[in-house]
Amino acid sequence: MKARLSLLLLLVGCASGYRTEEDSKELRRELDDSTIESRVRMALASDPETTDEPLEVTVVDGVVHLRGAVSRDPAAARAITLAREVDGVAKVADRITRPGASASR
Amino acid sequence: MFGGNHVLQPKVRAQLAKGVGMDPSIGFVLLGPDLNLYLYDVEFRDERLHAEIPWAKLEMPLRMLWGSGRVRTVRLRELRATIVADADISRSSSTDGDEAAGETIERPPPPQLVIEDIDIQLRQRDGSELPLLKADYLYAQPAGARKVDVEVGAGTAGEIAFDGITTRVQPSHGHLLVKDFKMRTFGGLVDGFLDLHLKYAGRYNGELHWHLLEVERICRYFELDHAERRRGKLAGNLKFKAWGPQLDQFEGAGEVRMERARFWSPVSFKVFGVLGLPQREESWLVAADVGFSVEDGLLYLERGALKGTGYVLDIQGIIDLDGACDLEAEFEGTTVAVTGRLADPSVRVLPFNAVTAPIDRMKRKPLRKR
Repeated sequence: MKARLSLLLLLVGCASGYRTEEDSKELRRELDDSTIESRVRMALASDPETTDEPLEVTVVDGVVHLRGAVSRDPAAARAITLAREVDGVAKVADRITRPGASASR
Repeated sequence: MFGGNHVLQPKVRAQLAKGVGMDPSIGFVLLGPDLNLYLYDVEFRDERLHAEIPWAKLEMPLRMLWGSGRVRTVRLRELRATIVADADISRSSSTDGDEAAGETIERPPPPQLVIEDIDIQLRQRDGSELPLLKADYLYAQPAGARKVDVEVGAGTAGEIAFDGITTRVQPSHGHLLVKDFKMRTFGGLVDGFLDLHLKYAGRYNGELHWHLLEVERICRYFELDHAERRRGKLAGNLKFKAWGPQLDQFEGAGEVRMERARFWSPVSFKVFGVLGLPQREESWLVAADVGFSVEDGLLYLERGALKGTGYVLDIQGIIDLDGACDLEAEFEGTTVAVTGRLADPSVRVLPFNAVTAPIDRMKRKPLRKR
């Protein structure tokens, strides 16, 4: 009976906007993704091979998505390598358009 | 008139606009033509970076820290810079090779503009001078502004005193990146980065780490009571993101550790009193380890271990920017509620209740605004 009451109160609490442990974990995940995104951006900006390439960086759950059209093939490979080297990156999803490609993958 | 590798024109002084001038050496150095530039008596307008919250005063340290982010009215007393244009015309034509045939062509480096040894001296309305800012600036085609290396001498930023700041500022495809930020302050070091999203006004995120800051100096700076009884070294980190200047649009999370401490804490002092334990030096903290987040204008202590000689006080709950707290602390199986002002809290022992305890721990928060 007590367990059922606890569960009921917990559900009511969540539905009415109480802060839960899951909220805290979600916030930390979002902040980790923002930090990785900026670190990848800084790495691309610092490297002479990629600094002029208009690459867009987004991160979801540690997966880095690189988008944009590069002017030279080696810049795409270098961008992927740089992104992989950033702490906390789980995977790099390559959505970069290479020279000569008709559309992004 | 020739002087070393410079062609000097000491009589030339150009007034470009009110408060902007060039003076006096225009010549050639190894990289290319250079120009000395002066700015003087330029006034910048007053602008707050962080908005105050109307329902409270700037009385507590956290609020002081938040409210300190502002650009004060300053008058540019003097700016001196040497501009060097690195545009080697002999390298501007392409070298041998047939691009159409797929041969590799060695292209000349793009022209660059370097402004080096920039010294900026700002003076506030009250006549006091801000710390000297030294910078080097690199502009290169086709991307435009590449980076600015900045070094600031000892002074204050908002309300925070520092012994020196170095950083690199770099625009990059819709972002302004403040990288490799290092500030020596409170006997230790704060470092990190800031990423300003230029496409979305007011949006930014970043990360800060602090290393071995002296607790007593921080307490004295913020005029906290009992600073002489609060010693230790602080380390920790904070990841954050925000939209605009309002605190309720600021989100962050991090950790704080205090080591090598002799720290008098009103919380552990009061808890010892309620539990009938000695309130003398036995209640002082020797270390602390706290995980926290900031959301909806509140500071959430998600986990905290306050360590004294022979005891650990586990603590969690909420603190607002004015120092009002709603915390629970556990000491050897007994749970106590800590409420009221953090500087002088009320403490009471909570009855053991298996049903309500988990509910008590869930703290009310406004619905998220996203």
